[in-house]
Amino acid sequence: MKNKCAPYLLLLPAFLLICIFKIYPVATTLQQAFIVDGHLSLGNYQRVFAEKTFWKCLEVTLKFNIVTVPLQIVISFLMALLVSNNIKGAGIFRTIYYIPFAVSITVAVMVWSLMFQYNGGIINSFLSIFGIPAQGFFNDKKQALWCIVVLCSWKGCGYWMMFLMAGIKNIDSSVYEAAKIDGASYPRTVWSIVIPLMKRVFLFVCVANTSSNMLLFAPMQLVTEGGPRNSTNVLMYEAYKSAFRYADMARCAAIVSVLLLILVAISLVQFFALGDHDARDAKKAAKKAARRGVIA
Amino acid sequence: MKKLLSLALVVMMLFGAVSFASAEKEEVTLVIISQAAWNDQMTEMVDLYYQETGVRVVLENYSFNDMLNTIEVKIGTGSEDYDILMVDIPLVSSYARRGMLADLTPYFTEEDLAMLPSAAVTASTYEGKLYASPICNSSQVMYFNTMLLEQAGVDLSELQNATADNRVTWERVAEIAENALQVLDPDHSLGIIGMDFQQVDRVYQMNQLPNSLGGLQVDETGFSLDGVLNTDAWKTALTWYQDMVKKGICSRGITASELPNYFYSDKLLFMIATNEMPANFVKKEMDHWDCMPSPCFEGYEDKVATPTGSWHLGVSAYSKHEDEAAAFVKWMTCTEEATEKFYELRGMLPVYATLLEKLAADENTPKNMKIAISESQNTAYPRALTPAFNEYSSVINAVWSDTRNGEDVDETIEWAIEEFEAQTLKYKN
Repeated sequence: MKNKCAPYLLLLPAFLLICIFKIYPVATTLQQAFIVDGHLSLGNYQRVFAEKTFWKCLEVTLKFNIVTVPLQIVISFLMALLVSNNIKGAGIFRTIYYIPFAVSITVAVMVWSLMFQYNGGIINSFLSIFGIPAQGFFNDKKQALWCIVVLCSWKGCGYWMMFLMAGIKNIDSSVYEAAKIDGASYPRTVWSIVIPLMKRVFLFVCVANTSSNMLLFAPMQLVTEGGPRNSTNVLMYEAYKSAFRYADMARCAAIVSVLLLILVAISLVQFFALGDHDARDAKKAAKKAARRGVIA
Repeated sequence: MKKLLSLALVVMMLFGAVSFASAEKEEVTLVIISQAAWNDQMTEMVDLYYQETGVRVVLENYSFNDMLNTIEVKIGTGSEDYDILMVDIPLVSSYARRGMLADLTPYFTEEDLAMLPSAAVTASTYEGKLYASPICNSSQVMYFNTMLLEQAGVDLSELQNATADNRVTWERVAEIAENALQVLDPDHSLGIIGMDFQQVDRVYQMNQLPNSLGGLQVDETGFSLDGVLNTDAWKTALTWYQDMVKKGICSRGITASELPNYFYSDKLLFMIATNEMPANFVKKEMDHWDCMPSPCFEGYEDKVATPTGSWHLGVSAYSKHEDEAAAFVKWMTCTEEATEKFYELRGMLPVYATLLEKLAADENTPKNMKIAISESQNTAYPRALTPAFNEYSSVINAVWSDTRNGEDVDETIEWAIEEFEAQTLKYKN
């Protein structure tokens, strides 16, 4: 009896904290989203779905994530491959790549906004050497979102690199040796051995990266304020403005719950696409075999 | 029995001593949500108040935007953490409507209110009750860098002799700035700006352009921009401003918080700014400046409109020390001693009648203050009267910002009308 209870008791503090700080706020938000003037209603959703701004924000959010998530994962993976080599000085590069993550988002945003500044920013000064006219960057509706993608990737890649690097290091060296004996080239080894063996790590990075980018709005708040012309206005920033600038908690709750649904849906797709099907199939087969055995 | 009686006496004595000690300990401390930019001056004011009354007032400072958000979040959700808040005048009705401010009517006598401008009292009154009291007023002045303009060979007398009845036009200012830039920074490598607005991209200062062409702030319902933005006044003002940016006379990409620094560091020729700027010039050791009244558009000399209205103090509806908080608000805004001291410290246009009269009559009153007094009495144009002022300012700020960034003016106007319509739906239902 004691042994049976022990695991649950050990899990209880974490479970309680999750309930208080995660599940309770989510439940309250969902409840708020369905209440209009004290009655259960879909009014908040009707209002939000009727707004052009909401659809524009949704478009921006999806566009931002569709580009940022794969880009960050590819860059992080390439960086992880580089720093996983057992060559002299790899540790220094690992640290250098990781440093941007240690910089606060506010500082990073300020630094990049100075670099991207229209008047006298270092990037425009550099471009002028080649006779390229000054670019609007954060002030141009066609460029602002991509400037934020650059900023976020600069800051985030080092962090995701650490997980991928741990995954690479976790692969048994005998697998590499076997590939080498078989005469596989480095790209072939990476493609046919490293990537398939890191599916679980990729799944984690993919889900965690999508969640963090879906909820990101600090650069939009600090530099562009969602502009120019809503081109960087992501759903999370719109929700923030609703709650803290317009004191419209119901609209905020409706937007946040839609965001939550999208996030859950994307995560499920990612689980399905990147999940360990072989392991699952093996488990199923084992169960079937066991059942047959019992029947026999 | 005797023992019991003496024990009871001792207990009573101890009880009395404890309650006396706790009564002595109970000292009222008021907390203000305040602007970080005003910290130095407000600190001196609360120290002075402590010396006079023994009531301690603590400042909790925020940047402009954060302060507005904090008020929305904390006071809007009934927090008792604050007693007094700084209220931007267009937000008084919005806060009062949502029950965030305490009624100050019982604390202000008719004599008190007679010392404040009636426009300010009206703006801080909601459904017949007074919810805030003005701490200062604001008016706009055009400052110019005399050193740079002289270097560019500009004859300053035209600017220095400009008066409210004989204003320099916006077109002429643009011409002077353009010519001066050709001399001072022909290839734009020094990053000198011709002219700009201290609060660039913000509704407060930018709207003076359409207002000076006869444009309105918002329609009479307060919830629509249709028939307001899609008018000649607004289109002309936005197009003119966009041309100024395209020509490199006005800046692009510099924020309102950065722009005054360009003036202090000789990178800006003309700057429309609030009347208290000279206090900052002294701090930054910038001594080569002069000022003139806000320009007008050619052919619209009689339509000059200058932004007005500034900060008020209100008492939180959730304050546990409403009487003490109201007393501080009254002292700060409605006594000659405090208003004079605050003017001395901050240099903002005061609202207290006797002080204002004194300044207007005094020959030694600085030029910027004389201009501000005249503008506040003759060309002051109130901000949009709408309970949806937060939504209004977000949309109009975006209009100015997008126009500055080269977006099509007509499309921007169309977008803004639709956006404001959507944002204010919640008020209409």
